[in-house]
Amino acid sequence: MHPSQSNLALYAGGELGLWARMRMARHLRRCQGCSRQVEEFRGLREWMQSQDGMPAGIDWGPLAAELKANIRLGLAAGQCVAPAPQVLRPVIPWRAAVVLPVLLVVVLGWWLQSWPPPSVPAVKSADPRGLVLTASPRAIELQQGDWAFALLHPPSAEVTFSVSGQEARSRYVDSETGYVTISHVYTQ
Amino acid sequence: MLVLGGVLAASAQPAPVQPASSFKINFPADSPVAVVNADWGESRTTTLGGALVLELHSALSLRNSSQARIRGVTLLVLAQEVTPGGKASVSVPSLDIRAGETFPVRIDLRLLRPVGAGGGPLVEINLDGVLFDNLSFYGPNRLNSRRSMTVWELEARRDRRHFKSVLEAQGPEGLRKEILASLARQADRTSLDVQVTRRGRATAVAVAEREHPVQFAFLRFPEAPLEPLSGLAQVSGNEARTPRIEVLNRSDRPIRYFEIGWIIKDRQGGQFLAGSVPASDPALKLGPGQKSQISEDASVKFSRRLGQPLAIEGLSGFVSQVEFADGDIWIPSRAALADPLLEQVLAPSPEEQRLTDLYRRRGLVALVNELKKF
Repeated sequence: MHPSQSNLALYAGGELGLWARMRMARHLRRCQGCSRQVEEFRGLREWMQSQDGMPAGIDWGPLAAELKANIRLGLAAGQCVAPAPQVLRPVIPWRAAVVLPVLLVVVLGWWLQSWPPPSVPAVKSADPRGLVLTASPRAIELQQGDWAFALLHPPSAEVTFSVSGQEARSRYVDSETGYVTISHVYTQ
Repeated sequence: MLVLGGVLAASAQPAPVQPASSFKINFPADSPVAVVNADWGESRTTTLGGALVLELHSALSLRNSSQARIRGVTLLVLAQEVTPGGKASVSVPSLDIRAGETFPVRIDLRLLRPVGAGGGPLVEINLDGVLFDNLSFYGPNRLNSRRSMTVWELEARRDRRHFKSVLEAQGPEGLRKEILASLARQADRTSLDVQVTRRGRATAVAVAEREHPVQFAFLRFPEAPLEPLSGLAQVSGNEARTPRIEVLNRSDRPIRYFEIGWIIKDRQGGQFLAGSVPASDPALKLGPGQKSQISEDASVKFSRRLGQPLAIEGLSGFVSQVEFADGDIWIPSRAALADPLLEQVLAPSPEEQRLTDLYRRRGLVALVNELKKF
């Protein structure tokens, strides 16, 4: 059982309690995957700390004016609707009361199923023909317009990537077979 | 509304795939490997809006129908209808399959295409090559898999020899220390995110700076048949453009292919393997004493994982492989790779990865027994 991402992030920032920290340290000694994630969180934290200055090249004057205008607009809108009118309890037909929640569940289920979690691109290559080659911990994918073709990696595999010429390459040990598997996707 | 919701839900429901209409396996009649079984168990299609998503999870069971031991196999995966010109391959190196034995090869892929577009098999799986233990090869070699598999096999022999010598000289505990050191290096190795844009500059530069030339520093291997002489790339922030490297053939044999690995150094002192620059000219024939220049017409932009930018300060290169005109291949020795910088940035060979994984999963005794097989 691996710790959650939030606990790994808290550990990386030294913000876990004593016992949780000791348990986590014990787990990290034998789990390279989690150790690597902690290192990544630490790296991210250090980088964020190093970005202590404001981004250059931004004109703060117009931004401040826009923010003030939005605040005034919000206050004005609040005055327009106050005091709140007496709320009358709406009469909902019983059919709608049954159908709407069911419909909501169906549509929500479809929506959730059709939206896979975003993947973090690790290697990306593009060329003038519109071919885009992206390698991520989940797959190496070749896309062209509405078409796509991807070689997938096992979710638990530790995948390494490289780019050479016109190809992206990934390598991992297949936990089921024990064999090293090397995938290549080519743009030509 | 209910009907509409039902239709939407039904359209996203996965449906089982008809393998005969979706996939085609083309192995030559005289192939040294035969398909014993093809399991398409969890393959399915899903319709999402106007797109058809097909996920193929196949486990091919292949039998060595030759008399020689198989060391590696490469399968060519073509989805020409989906991405014209696009192709992929799945290679399994570091095998030791005797005559008559079977072994699995898994192919997991996903296709996305507009509904109603095209017909016929979506994916073709062909044999690109088989490498035997005497380094002979069978197959059409459309992807130059002969060279790749030979390099992996030579690396496997080099690394098994190394671990066996450690075992002989220092016993099982010495081997354990060596394997643990390898696992520690693998865990410490930092990977970079890389974005490559061919012909021109990458569009977004996270660290905007004026472009300036940076010279390559080279790690020179005394035994290498090729010597990098000079190299230059245009660098701007986290982006390096059009690397050009001049090399000299200092061997007595003509060379037809080589690769130069390159390492970048950032301002925080971190060093990372960026990839390799291959000699892309298929007609290359670099005679003894001759010089040649290779270049990549590409911009490469680097960032750390999670999108953190990085500023390039230096570039290093090293000769990672050389193929002579007669087909012989040179790779660096373990002694050459013991350079502290290379130990820090290079990924282990596929065989070292397999052996260390075997130790991690099944322990020292299993590893020692595995080494004794060779």
